[in-house]
Amino acid sequence: MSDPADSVLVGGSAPEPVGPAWDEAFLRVESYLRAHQIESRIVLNRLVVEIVRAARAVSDSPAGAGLDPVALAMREAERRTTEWFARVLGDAADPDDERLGTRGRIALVMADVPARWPQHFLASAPPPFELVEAMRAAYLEAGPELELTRMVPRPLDFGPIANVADEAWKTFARWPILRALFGWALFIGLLAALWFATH
Amino acid sequence: MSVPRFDPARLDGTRVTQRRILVASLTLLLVGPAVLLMADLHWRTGMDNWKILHLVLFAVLFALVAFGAVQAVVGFFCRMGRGDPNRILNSLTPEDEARPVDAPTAIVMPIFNEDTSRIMEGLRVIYRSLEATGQLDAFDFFILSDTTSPNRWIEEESAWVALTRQLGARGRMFYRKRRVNLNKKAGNLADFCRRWGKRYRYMVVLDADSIMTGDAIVKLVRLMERNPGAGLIQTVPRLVNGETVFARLQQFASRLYGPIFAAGLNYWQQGEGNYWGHNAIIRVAPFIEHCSLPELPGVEPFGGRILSHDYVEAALMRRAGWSVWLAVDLDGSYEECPGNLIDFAKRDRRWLQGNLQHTWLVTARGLHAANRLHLALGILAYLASPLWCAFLVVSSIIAWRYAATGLSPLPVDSFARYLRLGFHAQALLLLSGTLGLLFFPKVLALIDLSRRPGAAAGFGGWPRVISGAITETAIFTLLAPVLMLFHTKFIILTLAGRGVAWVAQRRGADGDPEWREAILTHAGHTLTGLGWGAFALWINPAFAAWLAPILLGLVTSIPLSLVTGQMAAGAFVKRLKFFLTPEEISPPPELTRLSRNLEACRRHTPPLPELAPDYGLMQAVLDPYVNAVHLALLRERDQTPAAASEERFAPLRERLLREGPSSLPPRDKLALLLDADSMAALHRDLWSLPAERLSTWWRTAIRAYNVLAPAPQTALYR
Repeated sequence: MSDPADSVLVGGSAPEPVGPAWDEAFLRVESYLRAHQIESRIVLNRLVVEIVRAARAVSDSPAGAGLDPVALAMREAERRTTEWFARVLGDAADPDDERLGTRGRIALVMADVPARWPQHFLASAPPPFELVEAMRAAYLEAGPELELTRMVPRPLDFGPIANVADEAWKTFARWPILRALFGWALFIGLLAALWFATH
Repeated sequence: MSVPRFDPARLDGTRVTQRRILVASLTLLLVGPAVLLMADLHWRTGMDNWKILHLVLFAVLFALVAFGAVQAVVGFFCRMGRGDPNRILNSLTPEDEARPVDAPTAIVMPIFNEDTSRIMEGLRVIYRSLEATGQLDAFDFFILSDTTSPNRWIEEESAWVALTRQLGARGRMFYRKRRVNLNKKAGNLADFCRRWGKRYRYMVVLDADSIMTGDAIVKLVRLMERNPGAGLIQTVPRLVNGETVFARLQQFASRLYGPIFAAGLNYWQQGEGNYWGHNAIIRVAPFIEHCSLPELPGVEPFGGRILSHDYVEAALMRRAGWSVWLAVDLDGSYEECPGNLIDFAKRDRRWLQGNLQHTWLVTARGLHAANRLHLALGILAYLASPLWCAFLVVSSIIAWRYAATGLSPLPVDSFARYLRLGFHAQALLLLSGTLGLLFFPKVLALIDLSRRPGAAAGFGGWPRVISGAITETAIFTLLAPVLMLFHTKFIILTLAGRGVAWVAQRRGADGDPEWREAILTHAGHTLTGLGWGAFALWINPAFAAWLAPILLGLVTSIPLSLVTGQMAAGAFVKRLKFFLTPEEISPPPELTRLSRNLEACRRHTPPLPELAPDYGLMQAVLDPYVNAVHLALLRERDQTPAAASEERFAPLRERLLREGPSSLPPRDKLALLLDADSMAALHRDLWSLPAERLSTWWRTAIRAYNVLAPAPQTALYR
């Protein structure tokens, strides 16, 4: 996975091996967090480094051996996001449940967290009370409680002319030859009318 | 001057009948002599079958023109002095106006692939205006989407969330998207009624381009409360926001001439008015009980599902004993109109088919006579075009028959010898009479304007009113024969059970029609004009001169359609302060806010051109928020068995990510967008897969999300 020829210094510790695959993972996580409208470069950088480092730790363990860095990093990002949602929303639901992530993201945008509290997003410190309140109160309401009722057409008598026309229509639909005969008769009638009009 | 309050419950049926008899008598008074003169004209040169046909066509067409003119005359007198007391708005008392509104009312907006920014900004303006009245608590808003374009659908969802958040309208502004668009707009509203109708006493129906002020909406609710026998009150929406010459002409004409026609309409229809489909308030309970639309006999296009629902719903409401009123003088109701002739014709194509279907209902038992008349007039509004076309063709044949004999016609004396009219003078008198009836309402409208101090200033002053009226008349005279041919073609194709093929639109940056579209659409009209002109010249140059205004309109249809449909020409005309309306000179705050907000929307960065065709799908898969909103809305109604959908959708998802959206047909893309599990899986997989397993399209999309600020396309991001 890593290319031992390149290295960087991270936080004054020993150089970590780097390579194109982990660069791609870094970029992907950064894009993902930016897609959450986290605009602060400082916050972004901190979060991405933390997530990628955690993903590398998994990669070094037997559980993550051979797995793609992008997949590992995104799995870590997803895990941290869902855990943070569960913590903030106080949801007893399974953190693996996709619905928690959905609800969390909706709450995040509706409470305007990326703009109001960017530094608290995914932070390990307890979020401020206002953020928690705002996110818990934020949910979608696509419609009020249903109150179902029946709406069915009342019978309407279309009158004798329409009824005759309807019968003719149905007959023509059943017997295409009749329809053709009617068409021919109409055409001949038109010619006759023309003859009478011009003579 | 105070007007005595009007109580519709005490409306005397005999008085209403007298009003209708007056309108019918005046119409007959005009039609009778004209038909007599025409019959005499033919008789003077010898009657034959062509002339009988010509006379019948003339009688029908003249009657329609005369009815319109009489309505304008009656309306003109209705607006004199204190005005007609029998106006629904006149039923409100000062106490009604002071009382808080507590009747639960839904403001419903059925939408179908319209511009999302316009929809949401329109709703924002209406919401704020209603908020300013202090009566907002009684109202809920419903966006009822039948949108089929994936891009628009996703945009709508995102914009709805953003708007709700920005307005603090959660629990007050709702969004519902139907999976199956059964029965189109009528079905969309019926679906609302079935789900939530019982919660509301009234619903105000809006179109995607409607604007109503809070005051107007509150007044409509108060009118319904004051008049418990009213089932529906229709407002008269004013045309606004026209940016092309064509749209500006329409809004100028409707604003200038509309009031007298509306007053005349109200004079004879009273509580048996019509419904125009939007900008109206409806009493929900009787609407649910009585106004579900029946299937028509036969099959489409003539039978089957009712396409133009509004007239029928008004007729059914009346059949159940509820009155239907036209709030003729209620301010604060607006709509927009098509920007060019081709779009106008496309709209007419839909309306025409719907109105022709009403033939089944004209003789249906139980409907009121006024509603039968509304239905018949709706049919005749379009049938008049082929009748007019036939009239002109028969006129040409009669002229040709004279020419073919090679003999000079020797007319005998007129039956009315004391008139001492020559043959040509009598023909000219008939033509002048017809043109007079067509233009007389315009003159009346100008006189009506002059009676209202300062009103002309609303149109830019008298010189601009007069010059605008003359120019508008000239341009519409040229456009009328083009519409005649459009309608004639539509009717023939509808009767043959065929659709109309339109040239694929390739509009300019501002949505302008371009040369190719105009040429291909109007080539037939131009050729018809040239051929007919040559034929008329060959018959008799004098006859060609009579037909000249019609032929000129047809021959110039391409440049006329193109120029009148262009924004730049519209802006130029506006700079010259031509075709101004009071709503432009002193716009109501709602319209000012709308145009300011739309201006802000237009400043958003557009998506990359390579991403634009599937931008909605891209956002729904890629954007964490848009994906979450989409999933949440799908989950609310998702009933697809997981196993069945997985078997079908897994290969589609794989292909979408590996080969990009262009590898899937639109139907499959829409199916994926409708499947919640697929949308969740696509979001997860897209972000987790290494770049080499994604198509170039998706790699570009992800890069765009990192390089650019995320997707500033909708109100979600403002």
